[in-house]
This record gives sequence, C-alpha cells and structure tokens, in this order.
Amino acid sequence: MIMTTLSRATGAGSDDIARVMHALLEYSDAWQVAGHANVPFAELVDILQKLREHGLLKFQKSELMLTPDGEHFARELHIARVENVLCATCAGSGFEFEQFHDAYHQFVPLFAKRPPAEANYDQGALTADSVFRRLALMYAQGDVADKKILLLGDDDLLSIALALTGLPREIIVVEIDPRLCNFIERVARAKKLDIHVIQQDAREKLPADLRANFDTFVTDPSETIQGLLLFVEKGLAMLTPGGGRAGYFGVTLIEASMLKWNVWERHLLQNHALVFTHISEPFSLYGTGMGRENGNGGTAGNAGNKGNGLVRVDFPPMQHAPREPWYRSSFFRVETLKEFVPPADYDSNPRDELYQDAESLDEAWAVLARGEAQSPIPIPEEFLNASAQRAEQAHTGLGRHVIAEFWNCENAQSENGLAEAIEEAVRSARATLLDLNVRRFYPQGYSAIALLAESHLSLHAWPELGYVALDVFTCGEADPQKIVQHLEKHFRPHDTEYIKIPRGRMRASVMEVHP
Amino acid sequence: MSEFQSLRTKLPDHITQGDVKKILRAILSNDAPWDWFTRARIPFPFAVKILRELQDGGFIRYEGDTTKLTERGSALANELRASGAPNFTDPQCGGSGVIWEPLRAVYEKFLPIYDARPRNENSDLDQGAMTPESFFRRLALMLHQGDIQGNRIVNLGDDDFASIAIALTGLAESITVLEIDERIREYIARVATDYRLPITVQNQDLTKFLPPELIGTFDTYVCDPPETEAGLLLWAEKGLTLLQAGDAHAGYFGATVMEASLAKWARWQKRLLNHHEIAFTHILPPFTEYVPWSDEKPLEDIPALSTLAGRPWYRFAFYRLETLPAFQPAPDFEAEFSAVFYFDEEGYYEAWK
Repeated sequence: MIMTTLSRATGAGSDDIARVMHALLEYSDAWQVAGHANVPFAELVDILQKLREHGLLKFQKSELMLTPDGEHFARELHIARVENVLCATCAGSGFEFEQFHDAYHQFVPLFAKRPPAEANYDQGALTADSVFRRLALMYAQGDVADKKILLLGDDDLLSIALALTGLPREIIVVEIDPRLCNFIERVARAKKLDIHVIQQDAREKLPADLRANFDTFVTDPSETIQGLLLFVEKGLAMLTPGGGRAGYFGVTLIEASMLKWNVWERHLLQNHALVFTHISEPFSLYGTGMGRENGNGGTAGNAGNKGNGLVRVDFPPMQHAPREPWYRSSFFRVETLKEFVPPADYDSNPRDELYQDAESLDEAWAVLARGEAQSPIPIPEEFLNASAQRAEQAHTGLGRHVIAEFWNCENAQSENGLAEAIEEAVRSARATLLDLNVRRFYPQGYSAIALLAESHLSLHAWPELGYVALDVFTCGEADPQKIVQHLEKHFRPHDTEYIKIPRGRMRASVMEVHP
Repeated sequence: MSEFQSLRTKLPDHITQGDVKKILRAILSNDAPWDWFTRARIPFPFAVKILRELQDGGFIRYEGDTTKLTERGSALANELRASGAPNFTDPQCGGSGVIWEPLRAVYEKFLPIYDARPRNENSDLDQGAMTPESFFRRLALMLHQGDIQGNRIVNLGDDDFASIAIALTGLAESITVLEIDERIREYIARVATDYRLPITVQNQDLTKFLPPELIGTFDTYVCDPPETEAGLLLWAEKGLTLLQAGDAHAGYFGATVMEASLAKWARWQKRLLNHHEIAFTHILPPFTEYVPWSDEKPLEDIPALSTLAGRPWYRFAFYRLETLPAFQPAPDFEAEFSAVFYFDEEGYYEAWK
C-alpha cells in the first residue's frame, strides 16, 4: 500500500524505491546513499523527500535515519542489512596496482597540485587510487605497453600516470581546458615525460592526422545520450582499423538510468564492429575536495557545491559537502573486431544536449525547487524509432528487404556521383558501409553492390531505358527505406514501385539468430 | 617476407593477427602455461593451433619449465608490438572485486553438501562444476546487487548446485531449479528436504517449451550456458522468458572466454540488446573457475602443456543484465537439441582434431 503511494508520488518504480531503502539500511550519510543506491540522482533526492513526507525517514542534522515505520517498510520489502562484500584492497575493481608503487608515489604529489576542477568543462577528477586501478586494468588487457594512447579530456591526469610507468609508445591528450594543458605540459617537461598535449574542444572535429592512428583511447564522457556517444565515437574514429584495439570510458548510474545504458550499448554495437569485454563494478571514485575549496567544482565537487546552495530549497542532508568520495562510475572496455573501420569524425550537433538532462545532478535541485518529480528522460527521436522498429522486428523478422523499381529516371545516364550518393544514403540510414563496388558496362549500363555491416544493397541501371533496379536488404535497426529514399533523390525517377519483404521471420528455433 | 607473413601462411583464415598477438602476450607475461588461455581470451583450439605453429616454426623454445621466445619469436613479437604485463588480478578477491568472507558460515554448511554431490559429469550435456569458491564470489556479487534478497530465483540447469548455496543464505524467497539430469534433480531435492530449503526442482529439457505457469514469474535468473552460439542464447533468452515484466529484474550468466571468440560475444550481445528491453550492467573479469573435469587431457605435442594443470584453469567471465521498464517476458520457443549441444570450431575438443 505504502509502496503504491510512494511510487505514485515520486513517479519512480518500486524497484528504485527498494534500492534507495537498501542503501539507507547501510549508510546514514546522504552522499553515500546517493553513491550506492544506483538510481539517478534527481530521482534519489525526490524519493528521499517523499520517504520523509510519509514518516519513513528522518533528517537528523546531516544524517538520514529510518523511523520505526521505515524499518518496518524495509522488512516488508524483504530488505535486510547485508555486510559490505566489496573487496577493500581493490575497491571492487578486481585489480591491484602494487606493481606501480614507484609511479604511484611520484603521481600523488603531482596530482595534488593540479588546477581545481572547472564545472564549465564538466570536470571532476577521480581519486589517485581510482586512476591507478584503471591503469592496472588497462595494462593487464595489453592496452598500455608499447601502445599509442589517446586521452579525450584528461582532468584525471591519467596521461601523467601512464607516462610515469614508461610503458606506452606515445600519449596524446586532447583537452579543452588551457590550465590543464599547461599543467600537463609543465609536468611533462619537468619529469621528461613524453606526452603531447593538444588544446581543443573535443566537440569539434579533431586534427585530421590523429584519425585512425591509435591503439587505445580513454575518455570520461558526459552522460546525456548524445554526449556519451559523441565522446566514445570520436575515440573510435581515432583507432586504427582492424581487430584488437581498445576503447575505455567511464559511465555512472548516478546520472544515467538503465534506459540510457541500453541506448548507448545498442547504438555502439549496432554501428561499429566492436564488442563489450568489460563492464566493471562502479569502482572509479571521484574526489570531493575541490568543490569546497573554491566553490566552483566539477562533477563531484559540483554536487557538494550545489549541496551548499541547498539552503534555499531546504534539503538538510546534503547541505554539508561530502566528507568522503561518493560519486562513482563503472569502467567500460570495448574491443574492436577484425571488420572494424574507424567511423568518420564529426562536429557535435549544436542542437544535441551534451551535458544536462533529466537525470543530471543539477536536475535534482530543480526538482526540489519545483517540488515535483522529474519528467522522464526524453529519448531523441532517432533512438525512439529504433526502439519501435525493434518491437516491430520481433513480429516481422530479422531484416527488411525493399525492392525498388525506378522508371523514367532523370539522372540514370552515368555512374558519376553514384558512389557518393550510396555512401550518403547508407549514412542516412545509420548503417555501416563495409565495401562498395561500382562497375560500368560496355556500351552502357552500370551496377553497384555495397556490402553493409547490416546486409547489402545492389543496384543495376539501364540508362537507355531510364530504369534502375534497386535491392536494399538491412537487418537490425538500419532503415532500408531511408536508403531507397536517398537514392530516389539521386536518380529522380518519375515512376516508382516498391515491394517490401520481411526477411528471416522467426520460427521457433534458435538457429536463426543472425544473418 | 616478414615473420608474421610466414606464420600467417600456416594459420587458417579464422585465426587473426590479433589472436597471435594475444598468445605472444601471454607467453611474454610469464604466466603458468595453462593460464595462457585466461590471459589470451581467444578460443582454446585457436590458441593451441597458434602454439603448435609457433613451436614448429621455431618461434618458441622450452627451458625446463619455462617457455621463451627465440630470436625469431622476439622479432615476431616486435613486429606485432606484443609485450607482456604482470598479473594485476587482486589475489584477495581473485579479480571478482568482492570477498565472500561474510558468507563463511553458509560456505561451511555448503561444502560438505557439495562434496557429496553426484560426480561423473555428462559432457554431452556440457556439464562441469565451478569451484565452490568461484560460486561464492558470484553469490556475494548477486547479494551486493540486491538480486537475491526476498527474490524469486530460477536456476536454468544446476550442475554447480548453486541453488543450494543460494537457499542456505536464507535470504531468497524461493528457488526453482530446471534441470534435465535426474541425478542432480534427486540430489538437490533430497538436500532441500533434509535442510528444509525453499527449493523446487523440475525436470526440464531447456530446448523444449517451459511450463506456462512459470513464464514471467521470477525476479532473477542464473545460468551457465553451453558455449555454442545457439546454446548461450537459448539459456539467456529462456531466462528472459522466465523473468517478470518491468524493470530491475536481473539475469546472470557465465560466458567463457576460452571457447567463444569475441566475434561470437558481439553476436550474443547484439542479439540480446536488439530483441529484449535490457541493458548489460556488468561484464566481469574471468574469475569463475571450473573444477578440472574427468576427461581432461593434456596436449602431448606441446611440452609446456603435456601435463595437466592439476588445478582449475578453465575460466568464465560473469555477465549481469538488467531489465528496463518496457521489458516483457520473451516469447517461449523450442530448439533442436543437436543445434544447441554441439562443438563448434571454437570448442575445446577441436584442439585435438
């Protein structure tokens, strides 16, 4: 009963409420509850408020305490206090870095002197230990020694940690913040470390000579749907073609719901020849100090800072700055497959929201100020379409085949511009072009065949008849209709006809799982 | 001709340059020979084929117990930029990130039950048990995620007797075991009666339809699928058929890094994400170890592997997936038994062909 009321009041699922209750049994510090509950921050703050309003939770100065009714509610939910099982020596990462003892001890004093985090750049640095745990994980996978490594943003100074090990072949940092660029360059000079720093906004196209040039990239992307994809796909664009290259990125549960994780994972698998090899327990902890020191913190410090600002909206448990690190992220590793081709680099779309959405930290304070639950995260249309198509696919089959008849074409005389039109058409359908072959015949006519990661397209032109025969077959979420529309614009036919055939309709057998 | 090009001519097409590099990396890391396979994370028969060719081509040599690269081997490693790395796995937790010490009392109760289990695994059913320590690490993780407490749990196949360990924590609401092997069913049922554990055991061939009354009724599923493409998907998707609609339900499965290429992993991942409202939340390092099985064989022609490891060496990564708000139990389906339980070119036994 109480669960239904709470669920209605917060708009949160009962499972999210249960997670918050779980964290409340283990921690009384609000920041630690936020770090361990595994629900988006704005939703967490809202749930805490509503638990208090329903007499289940007390705010005692800065501590959170379940009331007897709250304890009873926890029992009803079968939530029992469980001892913390995370391994203390590795903080849940599974990796220790004792063997980097020397590099670590050189790193710590340097790390302490870094410029304070700057919220405008979405900064917020990891703790030094987290930096070295990431390093150990990367080294153990063979992605550090003798490798060319690109860091897209480096407020954690991972570049310095990497260079201090003396292992990488080359380290290049692309960083927007001139203070950090200067700092890294100064340290590199003083310590004779081989780090090359490029001051640039990673939202814009990177220098062309970086493209398809690296073995490994690391980035801590922002956490909106387009923000994460922008940073990770930029990293992918910089990897050399072929299998065995690695990309690393941190993702939180604190500013990203499973819905966003799903969109990211699906998009990356669908559009690039890669595989997820590691998704860690959220072992990467972010430092707390900076936000308090200068009142202008980054991701984690930011929250502390915003916490200070909470006097206005009356949320006592988070008025104090965090006493110890609480903001944590999971570390993803992707590995490229042998078919991998680095995607094109691109400028971010100015309409895409890269830093703030309904799940970001700032939204929590807006929710409190408004006194109402957050609106659900808006999923951009192209991703919604994908999801609708997916539902349709379950009924219609694995792939879609469109056969198009183009008659009386204005532009079928020659194959000039055809390759570009096909490339553009494939891109518009969010498909991946693996190979394209255009052949001209004597005395006239031409054919084209394109191998897509999502199946194929073939095209045969009879210029003397003004006729083009087009077949487009795609599986997954690439839309064959978009390719057809695009090529229709290229050939400009006056009469068209389409036949759509669902391919690979599911029979009751698991043998038909992929084309 | 470069060293790699000359080696390439000896290798089948499906073995890549990256695979060779990974084996060189394992050798250069000075791991114990049977641990090369954990480091390399490529299919066992691919690794063995590469080792044979490295041996025949004079790229490696044996000095007592250690395997070294020859001058030619070093040239190959330089060409491919392969270098070793220390083992950073935290010995405290075996790379799992969790300690199961808080579950010690449950472990002590479980161990004698586990030791008295029916032996002689049936390899036609892809049986083989993980070490109890491995399972307790998994259990600690599942508890940490809150996927056991008060939950209805289903085990799809239970040759590890995991259901008993879960039930002994006293935290799960109920555990249902779907198992084809009568010996295992009887044993678990007997233990459940003796210890008054909330376990229900049902005879189920997972290639056949599930009992309709079980569909869409569980909070968490746990399984260790066979390594074939169809096998893993069958288990993972039957699990998704059994979970309740809605968000925050969890599925756990082990995925070998030794009998499945990353290309196969990519196909599994894509299929699951494209057809079900789920996200992968964890893909953890291969900390799950198998107990050496009864027909384990050494590789006579590779000196470093000519004696058995005599300890666990076959390892699994551990996946966790979570359902999204729009999740609906997947439609149930049947499959050909032979389409699931077969050995593909990435399977263990291929190494002897």
